[in-house]
Amino acid sequence: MSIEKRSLTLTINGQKVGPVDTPVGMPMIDFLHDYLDLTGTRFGCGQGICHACTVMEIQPDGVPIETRTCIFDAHFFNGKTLITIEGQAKRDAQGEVSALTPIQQAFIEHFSFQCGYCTPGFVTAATVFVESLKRQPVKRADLQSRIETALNDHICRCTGYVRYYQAVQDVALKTPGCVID
Amino acid sequence: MKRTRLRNGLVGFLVVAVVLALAVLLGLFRPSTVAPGVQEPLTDAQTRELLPRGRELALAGNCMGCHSLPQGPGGAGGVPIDTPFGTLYSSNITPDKTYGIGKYTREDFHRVLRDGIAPGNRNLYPGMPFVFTHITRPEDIDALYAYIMSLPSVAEPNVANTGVFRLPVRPFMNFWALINFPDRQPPAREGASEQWLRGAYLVEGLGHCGACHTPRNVTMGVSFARSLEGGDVVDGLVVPDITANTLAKRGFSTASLSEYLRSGISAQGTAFGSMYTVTHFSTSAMQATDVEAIASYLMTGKDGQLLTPAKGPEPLPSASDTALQRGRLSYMSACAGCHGTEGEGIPNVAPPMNGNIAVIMASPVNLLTVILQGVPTQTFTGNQRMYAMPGFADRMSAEEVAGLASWMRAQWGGQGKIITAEQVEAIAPVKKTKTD
Repeated sequence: MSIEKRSLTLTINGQKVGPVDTPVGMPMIDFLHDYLDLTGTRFGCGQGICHACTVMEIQPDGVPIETRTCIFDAHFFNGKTLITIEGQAKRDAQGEVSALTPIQQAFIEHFSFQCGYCTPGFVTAATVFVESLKRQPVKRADLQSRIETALNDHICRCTGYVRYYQAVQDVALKTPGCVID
Repeated sequence: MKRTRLRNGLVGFLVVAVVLALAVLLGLFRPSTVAPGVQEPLTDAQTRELLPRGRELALAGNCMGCHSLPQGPGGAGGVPIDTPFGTLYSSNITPDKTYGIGKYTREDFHRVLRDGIAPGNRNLYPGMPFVFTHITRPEDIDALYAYIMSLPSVAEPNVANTGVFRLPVRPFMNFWALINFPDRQPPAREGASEQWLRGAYLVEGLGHCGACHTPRNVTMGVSFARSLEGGDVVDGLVVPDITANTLAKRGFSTASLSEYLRSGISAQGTAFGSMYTVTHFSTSAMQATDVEAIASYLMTGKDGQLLTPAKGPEPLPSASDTALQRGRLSYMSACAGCHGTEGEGIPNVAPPMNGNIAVIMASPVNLLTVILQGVPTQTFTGNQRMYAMPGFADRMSAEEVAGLASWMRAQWGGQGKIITAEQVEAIAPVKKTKTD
């Protein structure tokens, strides 16, 4: 029995990928790891629960959303635009990281992560959340509960939640237009 | 001469009609059917002895399911029940003397459950399933009374009904009752087992399964002639047929149906929508013997024999048609990660699709609704849970969802009818741009 393949084309971290023949039923995370050597996205539970494998999908209107890569097939993203953890920081002409994003920087400054396995997912979720605040600011009094709701799905088995949430709060307060009184 | 007689006849007829209508309106045709002897209050010793039985029966009736908001407080009412004529709100049934039923005598309570009439000749609306609880035996009504009067009082005022129910229309329920409230008796059958009798008593009475699972007529009365055949829409979902033949055809046995009622989980899918409240608050907390009795009654065919499960539908040849392959590929890319490439599901993550009732039902409404709107995370008996399913209304086009549902139904549901994008859009607004 031969493996059923389909042609796949999409944009990842600003680069056009494909068309490439990809097996039907191959999870997106396997495609990222095995076809593109983008190994920063973490495989956790494989059942869509822990959200470690979350990457950013940029919708046609430019609004980023979170999407899990372990439960969706690579073909689910045909024609779409994704940003993985490798595509978050700015890079120089040599491809070396030149500037972290404010969220990445804040996670480091707040010692948010310990083992780091869940971190790519948290970076994705926090970035999507801060972007949403830029479009629709939140009242200062509601900020903490909104952070908890936004990051609630992400599991950190080192239980580093408090420092993750504090880091996100810090970025939200420092980014103009995110929080109103 | 002739005309005078005709006129007199007509006037006489009108007078009789008006008198009859007034008699109905005043409730003269709804005399109390409570058992003799319930005028005496229960003694403390009787109350104590009846409590455990009352608790079990209150669970079977899922009284708290409708009479409590999800966040509580228990029994204080306030749950909206939408009808085409306005919204009814369930009432406070705690023993609070001002806002609850604390002033109800034992006889008042019997009259409510038997006749649907509250103190002061106040007709209850059939949101209260008194057409079912009518068959409850006096000693069981006593047990319920003892139990409910033992609950903590909550001083929570009732929420006012809306729509036509704001008007003084309660007396008109007497007309409704005239056509929709038969004097039913607990089911009996020659040679029936104790288990069957118990199951029948609970299903047809307090359990009021038919309140959703039996279709209603144009006046919202229960069509008892079509008992448990399903088909009505409750909270946006089509109620499944749970007659014995259909349950057997869908692969249920007494054991697996009983397991479903106790856990909320089955090979045919997990409880969602309104049924989740039933399995979560009622049947999962009931005594195993009662749940088995319910399952055994439901699985008994017209000839009195327990039916055995049939094999699920085979894939239709049309599932392999080129036209349906887009649907299959949509399933592989969006659904198979959790529900499995063969539709086998993952225990405690996602229910199987192969053999799932939402896929097998002739109406595609439930399948489409779940695909578009998802299902929230639900917990089940024994620390089991099913993780939230995302809705795909903003991630797939109507054509994609239609193709997906068409293939799933042909592959696992034995349903060859193609679903159209219009059917999808009739359920929820869907993302307009095509992505694939």
